[in-house]
Amino acid sequence: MIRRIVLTLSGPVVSVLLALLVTTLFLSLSGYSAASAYEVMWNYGIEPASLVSALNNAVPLYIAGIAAAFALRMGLFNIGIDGQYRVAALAGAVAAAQLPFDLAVRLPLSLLVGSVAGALWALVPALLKVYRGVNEVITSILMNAIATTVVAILLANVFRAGGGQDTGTAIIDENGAMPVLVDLGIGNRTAITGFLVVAIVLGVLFYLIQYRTVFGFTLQVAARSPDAAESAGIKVKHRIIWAMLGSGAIAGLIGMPHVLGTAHRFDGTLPIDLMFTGLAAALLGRMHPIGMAFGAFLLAFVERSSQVLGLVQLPTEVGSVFMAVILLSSAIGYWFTEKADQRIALWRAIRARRRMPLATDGAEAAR
Amino acid sequence: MSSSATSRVISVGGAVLAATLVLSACSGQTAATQPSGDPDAPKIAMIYGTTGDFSFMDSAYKGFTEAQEKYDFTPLDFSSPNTDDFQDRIDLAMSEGAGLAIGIGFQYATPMAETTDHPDTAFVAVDIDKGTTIPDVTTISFAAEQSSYLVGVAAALASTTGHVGFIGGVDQPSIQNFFVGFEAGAKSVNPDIVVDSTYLSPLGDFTGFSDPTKGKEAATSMYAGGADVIYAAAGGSGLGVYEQALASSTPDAKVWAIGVDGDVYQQVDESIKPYILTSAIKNVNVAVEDSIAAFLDGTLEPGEQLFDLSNDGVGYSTSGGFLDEFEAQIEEARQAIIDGDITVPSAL
Repeated sequence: MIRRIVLTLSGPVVSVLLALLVTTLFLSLSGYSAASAYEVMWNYGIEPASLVSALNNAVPLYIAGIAAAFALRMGLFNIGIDGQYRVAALAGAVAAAQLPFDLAVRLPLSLLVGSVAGALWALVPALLKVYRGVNEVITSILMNAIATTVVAILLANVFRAGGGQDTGTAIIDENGAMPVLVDLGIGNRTAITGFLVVAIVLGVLFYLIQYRTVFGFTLQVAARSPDAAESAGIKVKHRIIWAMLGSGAIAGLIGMPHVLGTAHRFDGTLPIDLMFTGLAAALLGRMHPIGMAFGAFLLAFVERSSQVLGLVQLPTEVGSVFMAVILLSSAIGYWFTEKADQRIALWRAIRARRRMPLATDGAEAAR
Repeated sequence: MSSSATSRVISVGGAVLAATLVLSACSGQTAATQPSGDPDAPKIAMIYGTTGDFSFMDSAYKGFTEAQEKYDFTPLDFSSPNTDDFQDRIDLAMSEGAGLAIGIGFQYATPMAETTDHPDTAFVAVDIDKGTTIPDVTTISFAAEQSSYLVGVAAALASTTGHVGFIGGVDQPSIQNFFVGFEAGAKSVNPDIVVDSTYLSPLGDFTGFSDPTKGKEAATSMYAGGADVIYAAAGGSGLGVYEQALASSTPDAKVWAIGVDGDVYQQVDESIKPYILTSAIKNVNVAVEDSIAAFLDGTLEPGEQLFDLSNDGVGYSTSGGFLDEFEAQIEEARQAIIDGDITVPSAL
């Protein structure tokens, strides 16, 4: 048991260390002092406002991680999360600004609109895969490009509210925006977003559906062996569609914290890298609902901390380098620890065999 | 049993950690917390995107560095590649005790308007829409359509095919503004001139500002279609257009490119220089430097400042001397705009 836990934990730890190593190399070779960079990042990162900001920024990354993991459990790589959340963010922003209801009705409805938009966008690759056998990676990448154009056309011609360089949708008032969960009041801007609750609910739902229901089990079976699943009476095609729909519906919420909590509208400030950073969080957390939460927070922490690098005349891209390496090293890190685990098992087996003949020799000698 | 597995994993992790520590400890210049200087000097923060676009951000950065040589202040340099942390960087500048925070880009308009409580920090927002007033913020706008009009005049005069082109970075109003001015300028010289236009990415997708390959492809087809002067208002993607001007030129038929924001002639490779007709200049560096000077003098006032042809906030470059023969006509148009005899249309 202890061994299992250590093995599970060492994967992410080795990944992070590898990322640190590469970032350090990058800094040292560019002639900077990595130690002072890490020091200033750490000091800024652990300020209350920074920790709260990292927590808030971890929320969309966590949702993105769950969306990716939901499809991955079924063996599907939903790289269309990118397009799904951008389309959904536009739909949700319009709904939140226009629906004629109070917050209690409008907010859940806006989230629902986002989820439905994301799910519909994911349905296209799912149907193409099931009925035409087209690889979902290809179709969902294409759907991302289509999303860019569709969002642009809708924004420019239908939903645009501002003039001049201002190209956003109508402002969402307090009857549509996500309220603050709690304001810690320890310094400037230490309000925790209400989306933290949404993220936690999603994490729990993800765990229950994927690990504790028959449906989740059949997804796993269908992912491991479609033929075996089919002969056991599991309709694999339906599972593919449901897995993609679920993934898309979750993806539809990724952009909402920004739209309903930060910008209060859909505009050019919506971050466009949430899927990739979220994927890194998912890989780092090994698709586990708790692991992904730590992964998301770590990445958000690095992103926030690197803002301060300009103070010590260092390029802000140091943070981006770290994140990029995390993506790679989280794959390598697991490979590394798994290999190490296998080697240990092998050594132990050899040692056990060596000991055994000796014991028999001893027994013979005694006789 | 499990203890040896543990120790093995720990030793692997430890080795990596050790290597990291050794590396981070070894040499490398220690980044000074701040360049040394008068500790009582006022702190001035510039909050912006990332440099390397050959135009807007580079120009702002140039203004900031040149001001550091001329004036006595402590610079706080906050760049970020992200599109969602404008507010964070404003907060950072305030918490670091900046007396002046200069935000580069229209994206600072909203967060600066929402940060109402900044008694110790003056705000300057650069490249804001004309006619925007934000309480307690100095907003600087550029009449990009005016400089675009002048390079449009230059393009029409230099064109031998009666066919010119425009490549915009992103299909958004701020860039459409460059096109509107350019087209008006070209047609003022030759009403029958053909003006092609294309944008490298749709609204909301900012890759069009940083993709030289896309710029090159668009320029290739535009030159092949008969245009012999192309105005690139596409940030970093413009480099592809400038390179293609060289590639599409033949000994018999030379084609031109027109740069944007900075004086592109001074920035590109020697081999490309002969193909840069002129550049429509947006003096972001002047705006940054002037704001710093005004702040240090105590004369910086909130309100709108318009940078146009009349105060040399925008203009065109003559590097390379390719415009010498057209100088008179372009200057005439310039004067007419300043005097109000010509009203340049705007997309904003």
